[in-house]
This record gives sequence, C-alpha cells and structure tokens, in this order.
Amino acid sequence: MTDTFTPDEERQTLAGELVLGTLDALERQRADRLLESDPRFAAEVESWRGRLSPLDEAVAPVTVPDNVWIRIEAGIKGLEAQAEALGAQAEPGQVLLFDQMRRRVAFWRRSALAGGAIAACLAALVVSSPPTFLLQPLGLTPEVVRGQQFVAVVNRDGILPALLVQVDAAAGTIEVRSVSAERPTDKSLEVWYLEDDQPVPVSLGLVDATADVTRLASSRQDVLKGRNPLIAVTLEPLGGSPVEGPTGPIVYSGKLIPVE
Amino acid sequence: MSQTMDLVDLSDLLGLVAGQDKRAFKSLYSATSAKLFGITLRILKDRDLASEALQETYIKVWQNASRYDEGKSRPITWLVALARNTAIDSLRRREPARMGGDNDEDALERVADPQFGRVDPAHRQTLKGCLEELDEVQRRCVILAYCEGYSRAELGKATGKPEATVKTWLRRGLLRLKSCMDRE
Repeated sequence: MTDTFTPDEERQTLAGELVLGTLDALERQRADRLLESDPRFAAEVESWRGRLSPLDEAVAPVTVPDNVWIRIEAGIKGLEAQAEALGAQAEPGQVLLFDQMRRRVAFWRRSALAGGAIAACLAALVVSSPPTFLLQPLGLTPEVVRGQQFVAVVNRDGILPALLVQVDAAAGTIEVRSVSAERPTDKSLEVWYLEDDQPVPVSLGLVDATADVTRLASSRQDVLKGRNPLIAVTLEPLGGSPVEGPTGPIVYSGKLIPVE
Repeated sequence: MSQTMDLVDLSDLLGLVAGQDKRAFKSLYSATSAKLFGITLRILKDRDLASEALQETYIKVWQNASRYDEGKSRPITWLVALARNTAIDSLRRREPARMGGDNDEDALERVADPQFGRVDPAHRQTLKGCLEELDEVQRRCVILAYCEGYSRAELGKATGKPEATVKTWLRRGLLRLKSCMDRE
C-alpha cells in the first residue's frame, strides 16, 4: 500500500477525516480554513456527513438532565447582555488607547452587568472556585466565598469567538475557552489583566487559536494586588501586541466576579 | 422522540433560531436534545462530560443557526455534526488514550437496525454494504473514529500500529468508501 495521494484524494480524505474527527491540530486548522473559504471543500464535507449519517441512527435518545436546559438558558442570557453592553461600547476594528479602555472599564463597573444577576446567570457555565490571591483584592476571604466561582463570558455577534474565561483555584491558571466554532486566523486574541491604579494593562498571554482551551499562568507578581481586578481580551496582530499594552479593539472585558 | 422529530420541521425552527427566537430554540431543544445527548454520551462515556458538551453544543446552535443552509444539509445532520465536534473536542482536551474497541462491530450491526426512520433505507444499506467491503481494520478505524471519537493515537493503541499506519488506513478506507458509495 502506497502513501501517495492525488491532490483530489488529499482533499477528499481531509474532508472525510474532518468529519471523522481524526485530524491533528494543524490539519484541523487547515480544514477549518478551507471550510470557510472554499465552497467546493465545504460541499465535500457535507457529502461526508451525509454518507456517514446512518451511523448516528444507532444512537438511542437519552433523557437529558433538567439542569442542562437551565444552564443553556442562563448562558444565552449572559451572552446577550454582554453583547449588548459591548455593542454599545466597542466597534470592531476600533483601536483603543488605554485611557479609553479605562473608561470602558468604568462603564462596566457602573453597569448592572458587573452585578450579581449576570454573575448568577453565568455561574452555570463554569465550575471553579476563586484562588485566594484573587479574593484578597476584593476584600473577601476564602471562608466568605466558599463555593463561589470566578467567571466571565463574551460574544461578538458571531463575528468573533465567544469566550468563557474561568479561574481555576487549584491549578492557579486562567482558562480561556472558545465556545464558538470560529476563530480569527489572521489575528491573535490577547488576554490582559487590569486593576485600579495600574498604569498599563498586563498581558497574560495569547489565546491559542488551535485549541479550544488556553491555560494562562496567573501567578504573576505584578497582578492581582489591587482592587477591581478585571480581564480584557483584545484583537491584536498575529503574535500579540507589538507594544507594551493593547493596540486592538476590546472584544471582551469583564470584571472577575465571585459568583454566589 | 422520533415522533417529535417528525412533527416539527427542524429547518423552520433553525430559521427562527437564527432570528434569535427563544421559543423556537426551546422547541428545537425539546425535539433534538435527547438524540444529541445520546451522541455526546456515546463519545464521552460520562454523563457529566456529555451534559457539558450538550450545553456547549446548544449555545453554539444559538450563535450559529444563521449559518445553517437548508439547501446543503439536513438539519439533524448539521446538529449532529456540531454535537460530535463539541464532544470530540472535549475528549481531546482530556484524552488519556483509551484501550480496546469492544463495541465497534455493534455499531455496524445497528446500521441495519434503525430506531429512527429518517435516513433513506437505501442509503443505510449502501453504507452498510460499502463498510463491509473495506478491510476489517479500515472498517474498525472508521467506525471507532466516527462513533466513539477515537483519535489516530487511540486507534494506534487499539490496533498496535503506529499513528502513520492508522492515518493511511483511515484515508484509504475513506476513499474506498466514497468510491463504493458513489458507485451504488
């Protein structure tokens, strides 16, 4: 058996393996790009889905736990509320200076979104508890917030990915999860940390475009000291902001909220 | 369940969901979630993980319904693709590779024994017949990957062969499957 395939066979097997789910990360990225840009490839993927669909028939329906719908509803409410607030505040492609970012942050703090209602909605989406170093700036102690969670979520009207940001106490990481299927391939999403009286947002790193979950270290000495800790995500050139601080539009910002 | 599927037009519902109609979204969920839960459970084998994947799937449905194109795929196929992708992505995030491959033949047998009369029976027979034409190892790889979400590495472990060999099997198997099904 030879390993050589014609270009047409390459396409066919790429489409087929995309449907099977066996591509490696790089191949998957290539296939996802083709799926967006090449109608012929998209049609081939559809054909594969159709060909293999009888294999789904063997799957018996299973009664879904009630809390799944409750969580979905809560998640969607959260997405809508945040999209609304962001839509009023940020336009895609707009370059933000730090001062603007700070004003936007001020808006976020005033808005009801920073309050408990939205946090309660979003609580359903994640399971994690806040580490002590995040609680102290909020004037909270672990006892007070036992069982609470830190969470943030964003949607940009389907143009940019929806992200869930969650803080994992045990691992000491910030986990950024892409919920939406789409990710920008010609830009990087950079995660920033802000707090009161901080001169420049601190970069926590880039969202990995090839993975659904990016884990970022959060144990830096220069963060999580002040009040009102906040996470923002901006759209930057590939590889991240070329300067100290963000250059691209905020696609997400949210206070780190301890959730009841 | 299958009755519900027949009673509602999933394409219409998806169209309404694209316009962010929450009642339609609830109807779509009621009509399809048990089936999709079966799909995510088959891949993840864990109720909590499968519930999480299901939840993520429907949030994607809400966000991406406008991308559904009635002319290109059946609604249930589109929904299953979203659910499978989500479940497989979740699996890959964990992936301490599984061993075995015990019930793959079972999945194949059930191709001929549909519990849902939605797929054209001739199409089902064609797939079954063409899968049977594949070498056994190719067939196992295709079915384990599609039904159980096996990665190449896991298939390598299950068959005792390197990933590169598995990749070739999968690709050869897919090409043979396509040429057989296109011929029928």
